[in-house]
Amino acid sequence: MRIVKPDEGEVLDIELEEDFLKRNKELAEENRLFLDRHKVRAIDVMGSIGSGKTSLIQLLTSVLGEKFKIGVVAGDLTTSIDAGRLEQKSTQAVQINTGKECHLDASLVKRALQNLDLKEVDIIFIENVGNLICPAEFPLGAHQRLVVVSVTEGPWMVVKHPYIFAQADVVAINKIDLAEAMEVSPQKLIEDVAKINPDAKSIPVSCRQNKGIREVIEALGF
Amino acid sequence: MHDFYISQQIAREVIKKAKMEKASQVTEINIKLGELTHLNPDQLMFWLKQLFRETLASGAKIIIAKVPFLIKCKNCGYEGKLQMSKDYDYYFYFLPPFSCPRCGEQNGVEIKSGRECVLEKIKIRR
Repeated sequence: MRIVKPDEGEVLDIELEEDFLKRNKELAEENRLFLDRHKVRAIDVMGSIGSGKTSLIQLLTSVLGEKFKIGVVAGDLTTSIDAGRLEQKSTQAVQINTGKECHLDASLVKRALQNLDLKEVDIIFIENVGNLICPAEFPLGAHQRLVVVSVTEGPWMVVKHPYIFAQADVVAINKIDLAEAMEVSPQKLIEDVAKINPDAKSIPVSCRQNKGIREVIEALGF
Repeated sequence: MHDFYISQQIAREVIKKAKMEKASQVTEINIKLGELTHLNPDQLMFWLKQLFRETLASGAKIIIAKVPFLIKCKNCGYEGKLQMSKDYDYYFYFLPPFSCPRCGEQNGVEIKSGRECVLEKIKIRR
């Protein structure tokens, strides 16, 4: 910070050069190093409100929980409903209430990580706030990004939110049991993802019918 | 989209720095905003004005300068804007992977500017 001293009452310039988005990115990198040091793998789970993020994490946790110790960080504006849903015998869950914010950021995640016993955790699922726009700009330090989109959101969810899908490693196309009733083609959603992000793996899923869960786990590389 | 969130952080920082400098008034606030961010300058301006009400910075002139989206190609050394392809919708223009408009290469294209949201400087009166 450079300050030029003026006389009494005179206007002075204070150079700050402080980048608010970069600060989050740097914190995210710190989180990543912290997780690596504790040999914990973190997955940022993003998707619209009601797309089935929590249901999918529940199912992933019950399969992965046989081999790994799981931690969950659940983000919502308010309530601890999700952390309650995700807390099982073998799973540690922490709720973040953002209050007003539309996304989780790296500093909130940093604080949540301090509330988990990382010695007892191999994998952490970080459930972001339901939103397909803002979380795209705020990396958290997770190793992978899983986006959940469901057929009940209509046929244009992927093309309308390219930024978030451009950053996904795995995309779960949820509620395929309702695709016919909704007249939405899961295949079309998969093609839309491939156009925006050829490297992402898209998996048709039905959380309600417990379908596609093993395929998601495989796509995540477990 | 998260303009309120960022505005809050900026406002907090401006007031903190102004108090550290024992300012009686903040007269000007300079912000640089990248084209690639999801932040809207009009909304940022609106929220900052609301947040500064009844503070040291209530009458401050807020200047938000747009920072263009520029790339740098490691292969051919090109530095400048991307060219918009007619085959793509507008939003694809801002999506990686970016290819160099001169040599067409995708690997090694770096974003030089456009991702920043910088509180550059403030002017205060003691």
